[in-house]
Amino acid sequence: MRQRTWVPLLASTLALASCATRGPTPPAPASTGSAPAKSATLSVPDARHVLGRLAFGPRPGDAERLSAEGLAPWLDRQLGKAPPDPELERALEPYRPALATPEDLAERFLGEDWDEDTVARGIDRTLRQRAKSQLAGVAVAEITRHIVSQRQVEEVMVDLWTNHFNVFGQKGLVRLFAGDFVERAIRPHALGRFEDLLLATARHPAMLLYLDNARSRKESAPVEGKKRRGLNENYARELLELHTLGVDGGYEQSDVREAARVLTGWSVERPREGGLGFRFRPGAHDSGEKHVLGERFADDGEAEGKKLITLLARHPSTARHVAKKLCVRFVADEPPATCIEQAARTFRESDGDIARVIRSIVLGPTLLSADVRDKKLKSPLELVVSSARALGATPDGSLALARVLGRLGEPLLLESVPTGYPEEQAEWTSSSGMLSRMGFATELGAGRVPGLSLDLARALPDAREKLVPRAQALLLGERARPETLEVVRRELSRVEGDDERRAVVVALLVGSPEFQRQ
Amino acid sequence: MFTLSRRSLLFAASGLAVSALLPRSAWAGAEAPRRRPILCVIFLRGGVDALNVVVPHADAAYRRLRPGIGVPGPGKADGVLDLDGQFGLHPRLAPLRSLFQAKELAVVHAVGSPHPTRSHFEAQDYAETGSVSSSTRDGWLARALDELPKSESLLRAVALSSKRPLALRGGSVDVVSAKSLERFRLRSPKPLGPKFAHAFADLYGAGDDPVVRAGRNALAVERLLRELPPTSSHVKYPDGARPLADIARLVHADAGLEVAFADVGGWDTHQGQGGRLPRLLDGLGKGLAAFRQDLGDRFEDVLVVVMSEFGRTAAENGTGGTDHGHGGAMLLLGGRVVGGQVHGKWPGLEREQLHEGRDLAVTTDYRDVIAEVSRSHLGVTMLDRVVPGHTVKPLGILRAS
Repeated sequence: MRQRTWVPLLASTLALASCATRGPTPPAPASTGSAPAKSATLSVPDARHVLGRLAFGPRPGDAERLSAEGLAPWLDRQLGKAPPDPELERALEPYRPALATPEDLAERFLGEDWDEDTVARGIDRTLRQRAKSQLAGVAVAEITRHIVSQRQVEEVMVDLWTNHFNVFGQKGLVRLFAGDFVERAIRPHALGRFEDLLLATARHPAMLLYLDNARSRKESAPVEGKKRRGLNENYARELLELHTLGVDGGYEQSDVREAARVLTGWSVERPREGGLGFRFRPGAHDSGEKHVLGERFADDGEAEGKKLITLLARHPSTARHVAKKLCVRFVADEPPATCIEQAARTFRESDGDIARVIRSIVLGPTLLSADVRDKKLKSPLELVVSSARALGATPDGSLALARVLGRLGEPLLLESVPTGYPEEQAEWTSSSGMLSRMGFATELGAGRVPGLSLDLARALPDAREKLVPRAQALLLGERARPETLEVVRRELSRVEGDDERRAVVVALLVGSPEFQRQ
Repeated sequence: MFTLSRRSLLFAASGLAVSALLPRSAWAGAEAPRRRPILCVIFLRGGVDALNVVVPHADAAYRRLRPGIGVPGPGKADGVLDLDGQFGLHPRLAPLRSLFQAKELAVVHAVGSPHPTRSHFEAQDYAETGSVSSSTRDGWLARALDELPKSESLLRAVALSSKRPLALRGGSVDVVSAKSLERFRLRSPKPLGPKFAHAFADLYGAGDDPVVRAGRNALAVERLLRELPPTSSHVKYPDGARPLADIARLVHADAGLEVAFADVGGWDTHQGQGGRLPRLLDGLGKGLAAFRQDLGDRFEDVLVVVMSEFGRTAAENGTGGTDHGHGGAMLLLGGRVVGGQVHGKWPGLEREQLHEGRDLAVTTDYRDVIAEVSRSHLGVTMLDRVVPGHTVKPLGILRAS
């Protein structure tokens, strides 16, 4: 992959040692609905479990620190105000150009005089080629944030929402907008109010273009010989089925159609109109009366769409749908009903305050219960990020890591179907999926994961007696099975040099069944 | 010899105890298990210009619409290879004409989705989900496989594709996906020793945890593919037809293959298609002919379906190419094909006959083709699982088994 525009990042600036000593704990805001007894007794294994679900796995020492701090204060810190994170800023630097605004990207790709035609064509070869690298840049920027950021709960939620509100980065002009979508529509609201998040995604050009609302317009009689343009239900359908109510959320096909009518006119600006942002087109809007979920929508132009978003965000089915999504992510692929019920109630009572819903799940009775331990499978993204965090690896300033995710089956922002990448185990355990995980682990041990800068001698200074215990503490903790450690010892007896020894241990532990668990 | 160990491995559903394998190894002798039909779907990504693949040379509008890129008539230099007086193959598809004449190849023309989208990814998604509703989230091949009798083969479904195609997603049968069989390997880069990868077999050696089982399965497949006998045939495949050679190897190995899927890209010919399309067709024609020859008497078990997400505009555009259109063509090659025919009702190319005044209209719903393929070739009875919500219309392109 091309490296020209990407300043190589000195991995040494991101010293592993600095991760071990995080800044002082800011005063914790009062927590709501916490269970003090629980937070006082969080064991290290408990803490490791929590960090596998609410974070992309522990960095060295994280589990011990969380155990000492207690769950509620840690969570308050995670959900509270973001402290400055200079390490993250440094790590992101090579990828900043990829996170530029769509207007800046258009100028960079299409020249200063980019106009109606160059943008409208959109599929012009230059744009395609350049946007490919740009999208890879966005992907590696997101991976970098997941690895380095101290705000781990927020990072997990960004990943969750990016799939919940999936857009396909290779559809036409979505190329220009996908990075902006994650950075400026999803990220600011990842822990905020669901309604704000939903509205931000609904109005973002990436979504308007991906699910065709940008070109949906009121039905009119077809004109012969002309391409028929009219109502497009794509976005409305996914809005109801995937983004809010859920497939069993109690709506009908007529609601989809009526919602699509409400949203006619929600479109994207054209360059001659001043930019590339949201634009309401009164001419495309269907001003007739509509009914969605029994609610009447009288002619009110752009505001009808906002009213629809509010109606959907506050619907009890949405509370349940979103609650379930979070319980699946944090607790189990088939979460206990109590988790969903409590989270849905919190969602309704807090008007969709995402942080409070997370709090109700984390501090509720199910997250730490024995029968959900070690049951969830890491997605490929979680595998890559958690191993990088454990071993102090960081992206090397190139774009290669985007391809690594691709080989593992989860190329970021490149899932074409609106469901996004799945969370459930069964979707990731095909023979190809499992083999690519072992291949990744082997490459990681050999220090040859493209795009990842890793110094194993730093992560595992002692390559002799303390090698296995140290590697186990970093990667598996108490999850390690005796048979895994047995295989490790056997393979170690066959190699001589320190580098080989480290490679063997890392490859086998990262490739072990235990490390696929979170 | 390979045979015995291979077969025991082939059918060693990895969770089974060794004793359970013994009777199965005995199958390897004279009484081989009943061979299952094998379906190969070749997906031509990008939207194939079907009007220059199976050329409606008798339609007067054809040459008018395509003064620059139209294929010359039969008998002319580099002209159409006539099939039935009405349609002919692109001259680069010469190897397919003999298959057509031998009634092993059938064409379905003016076939496609009733959904009017001209977006590649959207049309591909519909073609792969076997649906016109975006609410169908899994693939038609995956659902068809789930309708078939159980099998202990580890290689029931193979996708020669960099990513598991949507057509094979969401089912319960494991899908082995890799760009080529060669790529499905666990390697041991330096400083790890060459044999290191074997250590994983012990990590996933025992236990009934689903992840452990999945890992064991993956390693069994890897070993199986590593030990797959090299092709014994001398058939030469052209560049770009590697996936077909790989599929032929699996067929000959009696690997328990039932569904194979391969992606072939590059068909989005917006400009200068006079250079690119013949090159692509040359590879496709020679590849399919080589595959046919390679299969020998195993051909009777196999059906190849060649499809794309849509056809292209009836008229050529200003840059010597064609743009995204609607109706297209499908090719079916196999032992039970009602071959030597161009199936489907021809809608014509006059302006008022075209879809939205610009594209070949769709007169055959592609879901009727995949339904017939699923029923007559694979033996699926519950067609509503394969093409949900669609009322299936019999087409007569396959003989019932």
